[in-house]
Amino acid sequence: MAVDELYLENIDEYVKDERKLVTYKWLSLTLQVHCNIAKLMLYKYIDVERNTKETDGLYVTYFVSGLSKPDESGTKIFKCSIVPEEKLDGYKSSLDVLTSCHIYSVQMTKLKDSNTLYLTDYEKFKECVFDANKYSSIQCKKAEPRSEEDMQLLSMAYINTSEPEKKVSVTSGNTATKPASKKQPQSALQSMFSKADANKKIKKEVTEDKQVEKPVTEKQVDKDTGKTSKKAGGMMAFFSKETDKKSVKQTDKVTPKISPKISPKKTTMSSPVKEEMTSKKKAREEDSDDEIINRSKRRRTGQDLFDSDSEEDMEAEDEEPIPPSPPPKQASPVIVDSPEKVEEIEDPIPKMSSKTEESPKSKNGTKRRIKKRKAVNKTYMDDDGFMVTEKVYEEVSTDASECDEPVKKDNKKPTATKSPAKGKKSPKKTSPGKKGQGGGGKQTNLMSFFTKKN
Amino acid sequence: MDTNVNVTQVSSSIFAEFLEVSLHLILYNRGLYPAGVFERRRKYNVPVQMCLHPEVTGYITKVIDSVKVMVASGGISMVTFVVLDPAANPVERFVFEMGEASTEQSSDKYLFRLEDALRGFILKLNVADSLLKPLPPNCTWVIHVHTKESTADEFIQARSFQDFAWVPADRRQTCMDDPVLVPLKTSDNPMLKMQLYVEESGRKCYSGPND
Repeated sequence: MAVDELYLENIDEYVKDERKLVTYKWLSLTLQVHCNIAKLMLYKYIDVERNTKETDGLYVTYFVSGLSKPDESGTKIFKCSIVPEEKLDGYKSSLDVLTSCHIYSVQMTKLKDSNTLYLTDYEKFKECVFDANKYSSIQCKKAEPRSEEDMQLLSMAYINTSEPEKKVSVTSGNTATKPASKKQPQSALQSMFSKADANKKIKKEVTEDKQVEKPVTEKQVDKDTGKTSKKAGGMMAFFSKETDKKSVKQTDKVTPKISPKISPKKTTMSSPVKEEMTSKKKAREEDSDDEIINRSKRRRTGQDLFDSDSEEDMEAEDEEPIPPSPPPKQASPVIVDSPEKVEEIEDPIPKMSSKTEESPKSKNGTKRRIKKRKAVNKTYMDDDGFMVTEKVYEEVSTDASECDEPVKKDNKKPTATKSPAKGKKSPKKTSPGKKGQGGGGKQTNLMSFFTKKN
Repeated sequence: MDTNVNVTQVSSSIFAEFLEVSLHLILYNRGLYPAGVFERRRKYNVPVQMCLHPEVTGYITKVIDSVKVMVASGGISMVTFVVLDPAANPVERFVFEMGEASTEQSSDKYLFRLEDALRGFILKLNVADSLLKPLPPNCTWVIHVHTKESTADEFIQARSFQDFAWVPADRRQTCMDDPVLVPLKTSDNPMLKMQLYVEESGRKCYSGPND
């Protein structure tokens, strides 16, 4: 009872002080109670108000449903209506069978139309889209939201079926897949890494372990790449549907970020590998002096690289004979040829180099690193061509002294690169060529049809 | 630079569009015209009422067109919808106050947030009825644009709206007796910073019961 009275006070506040239009849906979502309880509360509120005060100035609308009286042809119609209080009795009498009648809304003004009722519910619905049916009495038990694992599996399946070309490049390029397999678990771990501080230490150890074990486990992991990528940390994995597929290919670009300590081992392993690898490692060795801090910084750059589609193009070029003068954007595979160009390539890489200069300082002074979480609304076109708005928590890690600006750029970059990249994709899937042909064919047919007739 | 120009143009169009919807809605909700001349339409994915009378819509369209030009030039501080009683004294004033346009890059690429915000304004205009006292019968209305003298001068010089002359507002129409402020809604969206409130004359309550 005590709770009930509190709720009634709430309703009184909404209706009389805030002058809100209170519908039962709005109330159930606002107070987070079942909608039937909300209806009861409204009923009780009106009951109390009407009994205690003579003129309360309240206007009530009712929801009425039932079978109408048979019309001339003898058919009965099931009607659901929202009726103002003064018309309630008249409307009820027009129904043959009354199935439901409850308060729909309470407000201080006489409603001119149902627009406001709809608007109020719509606004509330928009506020809590995912909980909207939580308190409804209409439920489908069989409809269960898919678990995260399911979604990942599905996304993997989708990738496998939808992008055969990429697969070819992966399988044909043995050289690329081997380092990829090494990196794959790391990238998954990286994402976890950036999420939880608590897991940090453990995972660092794990990554190091894996790096040491690489020569041994290499082939096994190679086979398991798919699985390992699925294990990517919850949030990141969710957003990295795209990155999952790309990461497989892009990993050889990520390999340069592995600590130089193990590089000798790798070179021995990759001796059958093409020149690319060794030259990359050269570049890498020049770049990196310290593992841990650099790794974490590069992790960001690695993720950024994953996001851009241009990488894929670059990969494709890697396998083909390299054109004499590749355009600047596609220059990143050029790492292969000359370490000098590394600086020109893209933002992330110069940052790396600048950070490596600092690394001796930052190695000792890990305190200087600042981590921020930003909630950013990202809107983009997804694979199916739907617009998706998501609240993304972007983690920004910076050095306290400098890097504020570059890191910000870094964050913005993926959004900038994403959209065009995805823009490119969607037309691929919708296959505009076919549509165009279909449309054209129809038209010509029609035209020919008419001309013949004429 | 190009992007900035586009942003101001786009935001002025959005504001003009919103203002048009709002004016129709106020006319309907405050009962300035009989409900029969209004029709239900959809805007921002919610139902709104729009006046069908050709002269009313024509007048509103002309107002909106010129306001759009003035907003694009950046010289407008507020647009007000003033309800006048039969003696031509202002009794209610719906104020659309514009904030300074920001050049910051919006994360709201497809303007979903903006649409949400504008829908919020529409909802508030809809329920404003319950926050205001009823109007005396036979009220009229005017639109006031608060702008800089230079902007007004430029606008008149431009002669793009020769058949629709704007005149300096009568002081009698701009000063309200014993006003009460009723805040409705504020939007901080970088595309459109705006706040909406109603000023209500204290004298209205005297005229209400008498009538």
